[in-house]
Amino acid sequence: MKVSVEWIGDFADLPKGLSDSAIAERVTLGICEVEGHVRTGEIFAQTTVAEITAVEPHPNADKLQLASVNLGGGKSAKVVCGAPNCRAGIKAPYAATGTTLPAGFTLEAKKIRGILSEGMLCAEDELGLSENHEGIMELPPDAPPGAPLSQILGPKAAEDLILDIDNKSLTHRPDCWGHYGLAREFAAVFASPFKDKFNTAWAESLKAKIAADGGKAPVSIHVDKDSANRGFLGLSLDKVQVSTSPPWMQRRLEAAGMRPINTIVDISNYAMLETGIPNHIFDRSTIRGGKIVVRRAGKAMNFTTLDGQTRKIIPTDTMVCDSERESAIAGIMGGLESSVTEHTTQIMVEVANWTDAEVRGTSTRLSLRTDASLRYEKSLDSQRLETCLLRIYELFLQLCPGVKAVGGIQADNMPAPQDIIIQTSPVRLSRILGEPIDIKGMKTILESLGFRVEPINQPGTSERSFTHKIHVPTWRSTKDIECEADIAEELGRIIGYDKIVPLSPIHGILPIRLSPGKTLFRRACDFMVLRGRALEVFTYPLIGASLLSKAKWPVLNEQLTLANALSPEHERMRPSLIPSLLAAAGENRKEHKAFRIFEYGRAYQPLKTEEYSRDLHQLGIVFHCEKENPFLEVASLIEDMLRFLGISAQLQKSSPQDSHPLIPADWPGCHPHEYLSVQSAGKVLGAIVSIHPQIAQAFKLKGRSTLAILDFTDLMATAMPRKHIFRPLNRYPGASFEVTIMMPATAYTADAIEAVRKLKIKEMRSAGVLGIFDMGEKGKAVSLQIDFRDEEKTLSPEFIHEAEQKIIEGLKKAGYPLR
Amino acid sequence: MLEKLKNLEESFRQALKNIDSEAKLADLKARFLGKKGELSAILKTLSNASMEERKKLGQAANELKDRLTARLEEAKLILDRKITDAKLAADWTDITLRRSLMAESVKESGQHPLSIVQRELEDIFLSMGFDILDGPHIETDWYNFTALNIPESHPARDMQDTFWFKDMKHLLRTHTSTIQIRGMEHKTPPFRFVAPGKVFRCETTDASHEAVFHQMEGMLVGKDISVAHLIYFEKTLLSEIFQREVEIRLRPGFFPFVEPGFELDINCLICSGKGCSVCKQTGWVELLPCGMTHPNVLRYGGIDPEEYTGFAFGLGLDRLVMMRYGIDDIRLIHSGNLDFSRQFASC
Repeated sequence: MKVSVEWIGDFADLPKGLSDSAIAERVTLGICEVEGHVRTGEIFAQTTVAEITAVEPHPNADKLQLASVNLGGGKSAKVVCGAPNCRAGIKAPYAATGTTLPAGFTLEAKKIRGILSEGMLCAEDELGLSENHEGIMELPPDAPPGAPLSQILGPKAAEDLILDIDNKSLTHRPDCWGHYGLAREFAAVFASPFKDKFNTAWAESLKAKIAADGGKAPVSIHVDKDSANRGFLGLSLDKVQVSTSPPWMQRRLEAAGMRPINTIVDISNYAMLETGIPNHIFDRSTIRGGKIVVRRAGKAMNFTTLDGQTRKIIPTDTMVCDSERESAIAGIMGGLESSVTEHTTQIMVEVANWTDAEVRGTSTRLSLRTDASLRYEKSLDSQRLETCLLRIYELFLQLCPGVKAVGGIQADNMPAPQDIIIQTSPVRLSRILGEPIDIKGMKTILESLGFRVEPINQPGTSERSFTHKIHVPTWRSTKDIECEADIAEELGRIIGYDKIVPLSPIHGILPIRLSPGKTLFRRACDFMVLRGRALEVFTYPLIGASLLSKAKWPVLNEQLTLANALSPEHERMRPSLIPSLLAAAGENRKEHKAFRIFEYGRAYQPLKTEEYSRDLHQLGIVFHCEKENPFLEVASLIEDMLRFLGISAQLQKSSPQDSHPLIPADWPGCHPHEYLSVQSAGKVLGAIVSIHPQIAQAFKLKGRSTLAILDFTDLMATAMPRKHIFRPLNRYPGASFEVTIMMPATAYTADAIEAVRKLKIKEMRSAGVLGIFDMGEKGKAVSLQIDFRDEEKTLSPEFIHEAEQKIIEGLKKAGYPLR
Repeated sequence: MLEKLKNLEESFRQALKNIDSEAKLADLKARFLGKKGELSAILKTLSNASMEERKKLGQAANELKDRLTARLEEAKLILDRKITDAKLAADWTDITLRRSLMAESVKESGQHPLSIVQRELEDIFLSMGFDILDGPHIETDWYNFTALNIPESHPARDMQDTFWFKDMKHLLRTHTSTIQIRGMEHKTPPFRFVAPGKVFRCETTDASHEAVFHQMEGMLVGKDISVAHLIYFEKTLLSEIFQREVEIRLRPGFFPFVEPGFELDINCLICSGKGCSVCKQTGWVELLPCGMTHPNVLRYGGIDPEEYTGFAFGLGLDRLVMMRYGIDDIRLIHSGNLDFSRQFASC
């Protein structure tokens, strides 16, 4: 929103001598965010009247002339000029060397075709007055040479400071959407009196004038109580003449970012920009049946707004209608049919208020945000409607002197004012702000903002503890000010938060440590970086059905699909990290032949219960190699990581047909046998699986990829137990035994170890693989090492011999004979 | 006799020069010091000498024997070393062939820059006694809006550009402020906590806008907590984050869950407040929204606002990360791109 500080000046005087940025900063710190500011009209103080005394041709150019000008005060100059109307005897605006023109360039002393021009005679466009560049601007013949242009041009050339205010910072301030309301804030912030022109006396005198005009109301007003209306005022005026509005009005409209159109439209806009209340002016000849009816549309229809667009109205939209049909979308935009034209002489002024949420709903649905809807959305004060109506009447009196009111002000559905009272005391307000506040300070600030402060004396308490009744003004009562904290804010911002002395909070001793979930997360990530040598990536938690289909992922998470997705690629919550990681791997494969990535992120599981859904905390890993198989590396890494995290888990062989909570059964992305399930305490914690070449191909993952997925959701709440316990060092020597057996080429080596373990020899400490030798058609020879130890005694040769025999026998039984 | 010993030592010295194997060394030892060796032969002739001479010669011969033995041991060590080194030479390892030399395209490992900054902030907050909390991304209307004093018809609901699920009851949290309520539900004052995490806004993406980004919510509740405390705390926190003294200022800002609400600006760290393009010539950069927790919000969290007050703030993590590393496109954060991640590798 653009605000004219010159306009504000009608209601509040700013202290003299403040720089533009000082004003902008004080407004930012006390009221709302000023995003930028520009000073306009300065050029008119810097340019002066010049009288052309003589004109001679330029010696070196046909189209240029040399003008001798009288600059007043005995000064003169010679100026090169190319304007066709440059002639002796006329008066024109003169800009001296060094002047910066509104377009931004500064006049320098320079030669034009060999002749030095001492300044410049200006056209209207060069001064920013209009777009006219036909010739130099001709000033009235009686303009005295040397006088500043501002003196000659009057209000059109007023100097102004335009503030560009961030609309968002006024979301909660319906009263600040016009210069009048903002001026009250300026007055408070700059500690200057608020000149309330629109006071009771002003209103009464205008109302008396309307009453004096008499007549019978040509339009009656009927408001359905169940509509979105919050009060409706109407005033009919006759003998309106449409012409162009005066320069001061045009200038202010332009300063506020609006284009002047004609008297009626300009008055309507001017009143809105001043009072902050939108309004609508009907050509009364278009109102059928002498009746305005406010009601809900009742049926779906097309409606043409005054911008010529056809809008789709739904039955619940509130419309302003005449006796036959709809004339305006309430609070948003009028209809094309009832809008005023250049021939309009009889009008009806509508000043109404509408329910914020309903206006917002309709304008959002229609994607039609207007200056009116923008204001209604903020919840306007119905008590201020009359100010706007009377101001419009006053402006018509000023601009169309013959104008007559007919039938007085018509009103319907006007709500009674609400008196919000907040009880507080300076002591209580100080407690919120942390800054001492006295009664006088509190009263001065609140009263400057229109609050009424009424003390309730309580004997026996100190004065500062007195409870005060704070009466909230109606324009702050629509939703802005509700409680004591709101009053504290009023004081804080006007005092200035920079005046508050920072103070350290005092807190008790609170031992704090990372939560188990956070610890798990950090340790897992550290492990992946330091041991896994992998890079962490982030992928989007929102994915599209197309990615799931590309990954052939059968869980679609339909329940977790967005109603208002930005694009089909990001329309639902991912059921697993896996499709996202495959996509990321595919993208990275374009640049890199081998890589290791991981993401500790969330997947989302729909629930049929009240809970609706569950965030799943998952660690996803993809190792990709061009030639070697990364499977064993990933599996070993996961084993080590789980040990590091203090999670006791086993990796179990799995098959793509198995049902698995993290990998859907029959997911074609599974390698037929490079697939392990991670089990912990009877639950499935994760999976390690190589990606089937078919799916890998879909993601252009040329090479060999293994992924691992671990779901830590259920482990987040519990701290992992300390796993290290000291045992006395060995006192008795152990013994070790090596044996080489034959196994079929595709038999799992772990099965042989398992066969040994199954023998449950108490003294056996460990069994492991020493080496594997390819024996061609006979299969493979596997050397095992088995270690024995007894904590209590040295093992006897007889025991060792017996144990060896038992192991050899056990292996043979399992189908793995000695080599 | 002495002459003989002298000659023997000389010939030993000559012979030692040609030794290049353990066998030859053994031969040499036998030849000079063996039972049938040259020294023994000389000593055998000693019996013919006088007592005094025997004593003198015997001493000289023993000394010679010790010398030769020492020389032999020395030679053996040198020879051993030579032989072992020759073996080592045969077992040559190319010590330049380290991982860093390999053509493997991605050698680096490390965490995402956002994780790095987030952890750093978490540690600062831990050091200041803040708990670190977490919560779901998929939320109800209650936690995201109603309990934060944003009722059904509030315009702030539009400001948030919310992603709604098709049931129109559940949504993706638009801010980490949801954890204010969840945190209060589980805690009794006084307490302080932060909650970092992803948030979602239905906003068209470009280089500076993302639909998925990261915030860190903070909340401190206790007896008589005031704006003065908030200012002190934020100044301390931000000086710690930026590792230098920062100036801050509060200006009115509207957020329904705080009252008074503020936008907090810090003095521009690029130009030290003199005015530059980063701070749009104002000397100040908008950094975080904050404010005193609205009494309604405390009530919704089960805390009596007459007894306790508190403040809350929200940090935009993506922006901090982008500022720190000079990242110019926010979309890189969720790109999954290794060439992005590897630039922040820790090893």
